Amino acid sequence: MNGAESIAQALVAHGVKRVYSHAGGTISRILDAIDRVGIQVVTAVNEAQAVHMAQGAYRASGRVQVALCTSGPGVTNAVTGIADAYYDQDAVMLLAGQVATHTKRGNRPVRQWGFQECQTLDIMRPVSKAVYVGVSATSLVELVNEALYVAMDPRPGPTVMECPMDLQEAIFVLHTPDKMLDEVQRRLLELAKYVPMNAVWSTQPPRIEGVAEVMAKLEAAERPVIIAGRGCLSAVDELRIFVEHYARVPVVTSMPAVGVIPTDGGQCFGMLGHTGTKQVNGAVAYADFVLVLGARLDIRQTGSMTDTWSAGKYVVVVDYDDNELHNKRVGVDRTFNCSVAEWLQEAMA
Amino acid sequence: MTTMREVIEVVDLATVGKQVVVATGVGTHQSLVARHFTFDHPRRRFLTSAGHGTMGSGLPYLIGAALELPDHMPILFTGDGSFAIEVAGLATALRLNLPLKVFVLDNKEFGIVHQFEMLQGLRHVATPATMMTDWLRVVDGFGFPAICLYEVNWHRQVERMLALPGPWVGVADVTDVGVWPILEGGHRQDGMTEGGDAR
Repeated sequence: MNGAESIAQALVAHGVKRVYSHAGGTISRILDAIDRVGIQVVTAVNEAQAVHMAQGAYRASGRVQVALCTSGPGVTNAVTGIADAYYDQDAVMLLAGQVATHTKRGNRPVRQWGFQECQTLDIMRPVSKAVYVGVSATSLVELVNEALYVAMDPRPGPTVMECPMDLQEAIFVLHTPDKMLDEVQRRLLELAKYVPMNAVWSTQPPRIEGVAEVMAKLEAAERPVIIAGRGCLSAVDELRIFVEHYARVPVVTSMPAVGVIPTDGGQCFGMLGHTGTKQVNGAVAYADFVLVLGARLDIRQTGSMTDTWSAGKYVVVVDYDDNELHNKRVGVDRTFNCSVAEWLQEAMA
Repeated sequence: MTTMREVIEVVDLATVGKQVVVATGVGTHQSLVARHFTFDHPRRRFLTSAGHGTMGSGLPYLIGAALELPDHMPILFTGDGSFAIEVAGLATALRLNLPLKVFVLDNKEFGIVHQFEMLQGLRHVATPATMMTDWLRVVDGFGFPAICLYEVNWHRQVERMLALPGPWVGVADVTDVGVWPILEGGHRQDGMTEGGDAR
């Protein structure tokens, strides 16, 4: 078994049925291996579209998706897709080809060493959750596992794995075919229990104490509003039960959350912000209590007058990314570090 | 000539109660779809590029989503600017035999950028290179049936075509440019700027 085949086996073990790609020399061997194990290879017209297709498939299925591109221009074309997935938190793993390890530039003070070689990891690092490079053929399966887990868990986003050609070609288990397969199966089983190392904040317990207090304030409020963001997409049922039976509060949404409450129903006021509606922005401006569920409150949502935005309001924010809670653009009175579903379940308990 | 809002509302009405997945590009049409189409996740889903605002992402999003959601009608609303970036993706959709319904809302402008130029007193520099492009012939070249949405009775035609299983692209010349009202920088949340397109 060679490195490329081990990657294909790892994808099979993860239940991947379809991948999105654009062809090129340094990714050909992996595409070949993937095709041989019966995974459907969808061919896009460029690498950005391959990543966007994977994003669409992720949003539709909730399952991590795989995109593939070749090195050099393939990687740089994919940057826009990867950045888009990063800012809109889509779980996509990009497998990028790379020239053979010994023909990589490394630390040489020249622009380029190999053909269609670029500094994939440096280029991708600021717009992805994590970047990986294969350094030995036997470690590729582990890297694929880590890259898939990190893309999903817990705030989704893209991960990028660079696979140099020498590792794709390297035959790394010199046993009989049966033993090869056993070895791979054993490793995959081990790795299925694997917890990614750099998902630090996912291991922290949720910070969710005091929901009852906030609910009391919500009941006492005269002009309350719920701002529902992308975080509500995974808590649609909870949110609808909450606003129908526990707190009949008008809901406004950010753009990616349009539809978490039926937009033709009485409870949905519409979209807020830059291109939202006057009614919604007015309701938010005059609210005395704002419950923010999984929205970032970026300036496209609040407008640019962030210093005075919170005046006269009690602002509660629920977000499962603690970094967002510690870096708010507007004044906030109370934060909860948990998923929207967890918070709503607690509020309705 | 029609307006973006009219096309969006015709499609919305024609698909009432149906399962749909609706993707958009980025720009004026994107905000108008968010405002005027009826969404109800996960039965009527919205796919859009929010944080990065990537023009041309709608068609490939929709291809990926359509593969995962065979019971949802896949619909794309896109602008002429976004479509110019993503149009070659029709080739992938055709090879995959996906029944995409595509609406190109062509105002021959980068509308929301033009609006920004107007509001900021800037020169109108941002005009699309595709002003002279015949989208119907481009779409035809990719093997998709192409429909003019500015002929008499186009509403009826849209309703009829939406009931058919196959893919097609409808092209509408639209008069609207920007999104009104709009919340500009330096304004309070309740201080949206009213106005209309100056042409």
